[in-house]
Amino acid sequence: MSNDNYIIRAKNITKYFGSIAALENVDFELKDGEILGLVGDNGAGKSTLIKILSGAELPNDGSIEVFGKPVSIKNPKDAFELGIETIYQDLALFENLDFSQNIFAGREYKSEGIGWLFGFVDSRKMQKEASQTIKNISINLPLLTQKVKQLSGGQRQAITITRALFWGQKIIIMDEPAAALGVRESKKVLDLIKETRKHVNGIIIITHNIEHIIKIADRVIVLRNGRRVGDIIFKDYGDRLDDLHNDIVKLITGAEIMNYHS
Amino acid sequence: MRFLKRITGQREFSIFVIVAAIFIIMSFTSPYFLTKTNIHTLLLALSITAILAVGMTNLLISGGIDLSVGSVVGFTGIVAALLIKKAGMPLVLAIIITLVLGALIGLFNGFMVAKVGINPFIVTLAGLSLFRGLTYIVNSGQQVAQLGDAFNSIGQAVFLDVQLPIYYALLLVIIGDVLLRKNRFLRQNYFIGGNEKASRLLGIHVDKVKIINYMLMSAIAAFAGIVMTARMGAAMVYAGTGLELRVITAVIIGGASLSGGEGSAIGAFLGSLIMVLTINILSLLNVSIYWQTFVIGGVLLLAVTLDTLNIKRREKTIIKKT
Ligand SMILES: Nc1ncnc2c1ncn2[C@@H]1O[C@H](COP(=O)(O)OP(=O)(O)OP(=O)(O)O)[C@@H](O)[C@H]1O
Ligand SMILES: [Mg+2]
Repeated sequence: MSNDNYIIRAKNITKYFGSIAALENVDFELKDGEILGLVGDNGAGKSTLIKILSGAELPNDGSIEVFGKPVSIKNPKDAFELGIETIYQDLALFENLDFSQNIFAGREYKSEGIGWLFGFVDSRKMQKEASQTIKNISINLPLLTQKVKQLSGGQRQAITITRALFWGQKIIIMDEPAAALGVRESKKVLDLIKETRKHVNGIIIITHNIEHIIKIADRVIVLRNGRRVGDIIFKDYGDRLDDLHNDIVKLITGAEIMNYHS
Repeated sequence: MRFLKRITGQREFSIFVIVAAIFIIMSFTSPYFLTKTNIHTLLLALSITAILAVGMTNLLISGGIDLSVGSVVGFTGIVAALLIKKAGMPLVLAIIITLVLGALIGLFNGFMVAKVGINPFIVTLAGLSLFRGLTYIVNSGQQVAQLGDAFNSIGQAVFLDVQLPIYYALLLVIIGDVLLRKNRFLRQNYFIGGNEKASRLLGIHVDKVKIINYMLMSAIAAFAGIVMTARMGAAMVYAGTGLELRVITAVIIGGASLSGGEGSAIGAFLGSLIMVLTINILSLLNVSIYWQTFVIGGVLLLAVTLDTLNIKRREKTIIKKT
């Protein structure tokens, strides 16, 4: 077929909530090495689509291939095992716990020796590995033993990304990674995402911030009212960033039709 | 220095300081306070509260609560007595059946909370009345006494000058503390109480863990029921009345939070110690029993208020930071 190396390829994804069609026959593909933006107005179906890819929702129709193999993603564990890690809008962190406890939540190392008999976990080993991981990634956490509730929004986002990288995930999906952050913090997160690209096969980012997406992505897919209305490859625009910006906005709002008439 | 800082920063440490202060002040105020008899009375009173507090902490960490424990203590206590006295069962069998009954009560509570989805306050408030009612019904409101020396020794036997229930409590607190910190299954409670939705996304079997928490709680309450009956040498129909408030207060003083995700067994033990000390002081100062009930209510309200203010402050800082 095509020369492109698809790591995710979904076809005809359809999802109804009651009588509302959140997604109708949506095709979606993520290429190897790509940072892909997924954009669209409120209610366009972005979150629903990535929930289907991460096993949090089941589609009514459609097929999905991951790394070239047809798969059925029925729950978050299936997605995890395929190498897909999703960072949801509300981050899904445990604020009452610290960095290493968050990295290992639900996937703890078991103790060896007698501790094993009592179902003990190996906290020391987990702390050690967590602190090593954090050295490889440029985020600064003042204290590894600090609870997440004491950390800033950017630091929290960094933990979720670190968690994905730690578990060797190949595809990272982020729903609004910089939505609640100030200018400085969002810049840090964007830098971190760029750096993350070196360690993974592909990244999908949902955002309403077109400037952010132009800064870091290679391509966007645009949804409108549950349908895919187009995709734009950034390198086709060279450094005509204003045109790129306008064209994305036009696709999102459907304004290109009005332009056509004027 | 670092070690000192870590220790002093902990909630448990502040409680420990309070307890020490109470001891010092009381030893000057009442000459009777530091006598061996009073300390022993104090520890004995502590034992039942502390035993229950371990199960209650575990529940609160996961975001649950159990208001029925006092009634379950009363109900299982009288059932154990009837099994021995009326049914003539061997001791070990009667104990096992009582503990299983406790676990089944917990299964019921847990099922209503996790599977039917009713608020745990409501489920266990109903349980408070249900099981107290059953306590009266099973023996037509009569107490059951003369249970035999073998049974009574469970609560009355002395080892190295110390009565057995105190050992049970210490043992349970130590085991509970280690397991809550290290056991993979019980640690899941911190995840569930911290962020239930995220726990589900990680594949933690939230409903199953919740049900098991309630089963542990009620089985521990059944154990407390047996110990209490044995200590009194009789199963009274009002045994355990009001205990739930004392236990919940103790656990919240000890660092557990009504919003879940926080708490430790050591904290629960120290919280129980503060509760029992408060009551002990009131009796030593000849404050009437009516006022004692009033004071427990006041302490609970104070503890919960501080907890709530703490939660609010936390939420504020989060909003500021994100
Ligand atoms: N659990 C649900 N039950 C019912 N309707 C839902 C549910 N989840 C989403 N929808 C509907 O599906 C449509 C798509 O929602 P979705 O959350 O995917 O949009 P979105 O593109 O992520 O929007 P936003 O940018 O506001 O996050 C909307 O009309 C929404 O109301
Ligand atoms: Mg969304």
